[in-house]
Order: sequence, then structure tokens, then C-alpha cells
Amino acid sequence: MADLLVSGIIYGSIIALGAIGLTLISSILNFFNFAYGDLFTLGAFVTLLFLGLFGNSGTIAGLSFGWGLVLATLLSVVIMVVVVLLMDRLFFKPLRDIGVTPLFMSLASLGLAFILRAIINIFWGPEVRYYSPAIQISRRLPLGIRVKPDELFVVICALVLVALVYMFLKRTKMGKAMRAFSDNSVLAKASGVETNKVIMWTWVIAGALITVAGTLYGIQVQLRPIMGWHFLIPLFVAVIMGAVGSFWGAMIGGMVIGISEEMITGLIQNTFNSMQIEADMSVYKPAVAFVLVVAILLLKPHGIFGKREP
Amino acid sequence: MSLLTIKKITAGYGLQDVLFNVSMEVDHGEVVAIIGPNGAGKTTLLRAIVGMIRPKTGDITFKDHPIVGMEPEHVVRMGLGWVPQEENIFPSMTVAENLEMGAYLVEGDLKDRFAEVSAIFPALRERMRQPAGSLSGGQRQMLAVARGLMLRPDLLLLDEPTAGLAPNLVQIMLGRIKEVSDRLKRAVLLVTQTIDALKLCQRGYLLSAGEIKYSDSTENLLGNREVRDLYFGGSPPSS
Repeated sequence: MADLLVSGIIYGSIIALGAIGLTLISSILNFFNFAYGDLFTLGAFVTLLFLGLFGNSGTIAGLSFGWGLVLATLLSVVIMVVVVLLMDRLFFKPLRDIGVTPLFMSLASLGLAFILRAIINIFWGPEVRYYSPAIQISRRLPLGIRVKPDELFVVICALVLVALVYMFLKRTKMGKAMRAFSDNSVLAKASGVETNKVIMWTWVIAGALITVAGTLYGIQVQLRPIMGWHFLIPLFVAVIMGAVGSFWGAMIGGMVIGISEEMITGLIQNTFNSMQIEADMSVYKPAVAFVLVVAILLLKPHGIFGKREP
Repeated sequence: MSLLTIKKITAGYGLQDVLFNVSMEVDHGEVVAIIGPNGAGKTTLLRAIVGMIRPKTGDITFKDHPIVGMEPEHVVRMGLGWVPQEENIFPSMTVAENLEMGAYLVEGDLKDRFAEVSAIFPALRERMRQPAGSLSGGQRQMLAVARGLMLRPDLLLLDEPTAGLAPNLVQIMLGRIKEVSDRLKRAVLLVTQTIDALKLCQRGYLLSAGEIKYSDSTENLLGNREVRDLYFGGSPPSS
């Protein structure tokens, strides 16, 4: 049970990281970006590309990777930020300029998702890849909890990034402008907020977050070209569950999805195992996310952190 | 030259024109009313001034600079504040953050500006850390006007700031608007449908079906039987 909770927190922290970026895009650019899952994959693979150039350079304090992966991730973030800014310039800005509806923006992003996935398949092929072939041994903690150093790293890294983004949004002038724009874009413009700057910063933050999320996910599992597409479901559910535009909603929504998926499928798996029924419940994880989002939409249509205007 | 000059603008949404050849002026420090029935185009006129919609024909100049076609963020930068009738605050941000956003274009310390608007709207002072979305209707309107003042605009456009407020709050709000004009010497273009608000103004324009029907001093507008009967339900011009 405790093991499942820990797995859920690890998975949830990665979802939360991606969901914060997605909620910013959804509320500021006013569309659901279906290409975000494939940006997650691309970020992870670009990190792999740089890792191939530098090598892992040993390992850091019990982790399965070395400074090479850290450096590769930083460079990947830079490249991916450029990619998302170009993507906006070439695809989304022309659509915004002609005033297309959010539905068409979302459909355009779906097309972009297919393009990105095709690019990933062309460059890296369909086979699975790893950042490190090293096998880690879990450390035993009280209450029967077992954690690998990599898993601890993933959670700490995600939490640090969440805190940094929160500080940016809460304390800096541009962060406040982004929150204002997300709240009421017309009034933000009438307050002197420059739309182009807000959109640029939204892409920078979302691009950086999804790249790190993809890389952290890659540390945990093997890299597959389809992984981001599958990751998109929990991301969307986290954003909708937490209320579109809510920072803490995305964070908590991500955690709830991660923990629910791991615990519910894990508990059913354990039950089946004890009854000697052969089944792989891990493939049903997205079903948990769907059930949760339907329940939330029925019970609290504006999301957990959503408020109805009085 | 006037602070704001509008010459024969025609504007609307898509193919639907709402304003037809509208011309008007606002001078420095003046409080001017735009009155008229619902659907007359009052809000559209303010949206056209602030750059939210682009007039099809005509000119708007602010401080002698043409502003037609300019983005709202650039119009605001010139010293023009706008307080819409609805959705005029950032609900998930605190009162203090809303005021900060009002002074978004200002670099440096905002203490003086906070003190200035707090003096006019003391009710906001003890609610600075409260989320704006949790304020009452009257407090929201006060925050909206205070936010508009944070930039210290030369001209403040107020779109029905008393709409939906309880009668006692209407009087308080009108008193605050008078202070904005008297104490801060800001010019105000006030969209209103109430006689009490019109009395605050030096003069006014009556907008009907997208056209300026009357332009006169407040006294004359209030003395005009047609204006009283049609737009203020025949209320006598009490002092």
C-alpha cells in the first residue's frame, strides 16, 4: 500500500509539472494544446540526443545517471524553448492573427502533434531507448516503503521546479501579468500588458516544464515515441480536475491523478494476484483518469479550484 | 486642443455597425457624461476609444496624437484609463495585486499611488490581501475604479460604475468619482443612465441608436423635457 502511494507521488509529481505548463497554455492562449504530449516525448528524446554526445560522465551519489544527463537536460530545455517559440510563430500566431476559434486552435495542435510524432519516429525510430542501462536497487525506508534514489531525485526536482514557477508567477512583474492575462485578458491589455510578451513567456515556461517532465519520466521508464501521447490523458485530466488556469489546481490535480492511477490499478492487481487471476492492470491506468474526470465534471464542473462568478 | 477628440467615427462588430458618425470632445480635468438607453452604443464608444475595436471611419486623437488602430496596451501607455462595466477586476488576484496591475506600466515604487487610491477608497485598505473575487459587488466596483486610477491617467473612461449597486453604494461611488475629479484633477468620461451621475458632470452627450442626439451642458440636458421623459423616466431635475 505504502509502495503504491510512493509510486503515485513520483508519477504524480511528473504529471503536476506538465499540467502546470498545460494549464498556463490553456488559460492564457485559450486552447487545449494536443501537441503538448508529443513535446513531452520530443523533450525527452532531445535530452537523449545530447546525452549521446556527452555520455553520462559517471553517476551522481547513488543515482543511475551522471552530470552528463543534467547538462543534456539543460541544453534540451534551451532547444525545446526555441522549438515551442518557433512552433508558436509558424503555426499558432498566424491562426491567432486571423482570429480562429479555440476549437480550431486545438485541432491545429492535434495536427502538430502528429507532425512531431512523425519527426520523432523518423529521427529515433520506434524502438525503446534508455538514458542509463544501470539497474538501481531500492532503499528501504520505514513503513515498508522502498524508494530508488532516482525516484527521490524525480520528486525533489519536480517540487523545486514547481516552487520556482510559483515564485515567478507570484513575485515577478511578468508572472503577475501572466496571471492577470489568464484571469481577464481584455482587462490585462487595457492595463498595458503586452500580449506578445505574455504569450512568449507562457511558451518559455511551458516548454521548459514539459522538457524536464519528459526527461524525468525517461529516467523512470524507457523512452518510446508514443509515451507523450499516452501521457496527454493524465495531463488533461489534471488540468480539468484542478480548474483550467489554476496553478495549485494543476499541481494537486496531477498528484491526485498519479496517486489514484497507481493505487487503484495496484490494489486491483494485488487482488487479482491473490486470486491467481492473470491480468495486467497497468494498461487500465488511463481508465482511472477518465473515471476521475467524469466524476469531477459531474460533481464540480468548474474543477476543484474553480469558482463560479457570483 | 481638447484632451480627447473624436471626429465622425463609425464603428461596430463585424458587419454590424453600432456607432454612426459620432463626434465628441473631452477637455483636461473635465467630467463628461455619455447618456442613452441600453443598446445605444455607449460601451462600444468606450471600446473604440481604448482600442478594443477599430473604427471603420473617422479619427480619434488623444493629447493630439491619433490613436485609431493602436493596440489597447499602447493607448493606455499614453495616459488613458478604462474601467469596463463588467469583468473589471482580476478575480483570482488579491486587491493589492489588482492595484499593482493598474500601475503595470509604472516603474519603481508604487507606495504613493497606493496611498492616493486608499485615501479615496478606504474600504480597500484593510482588504489588500483578500482575493478580489471574494469582494462584494460595491467593493468590486470601487476596486475597479481604484485600479483605473493607479496609472494616474489623464482621462479615465468609466462604463456605468454604479450599475447594479445598492442606492447607498451608488451615492458613495458617485462621491468617490467627484473626488477623483476635484482632488486628483483627472478628466473623466462617464457612461451612465442615472440623473445623479449626470449631475456630477459639467456636460454630456446623449447617444441614441449609435448617433449623438444632444450635446449640451448638464443643466440644459436636465432641463430638456425629451431627455428627461425618454431617458430618465420623466424625473424632475431636482437640485
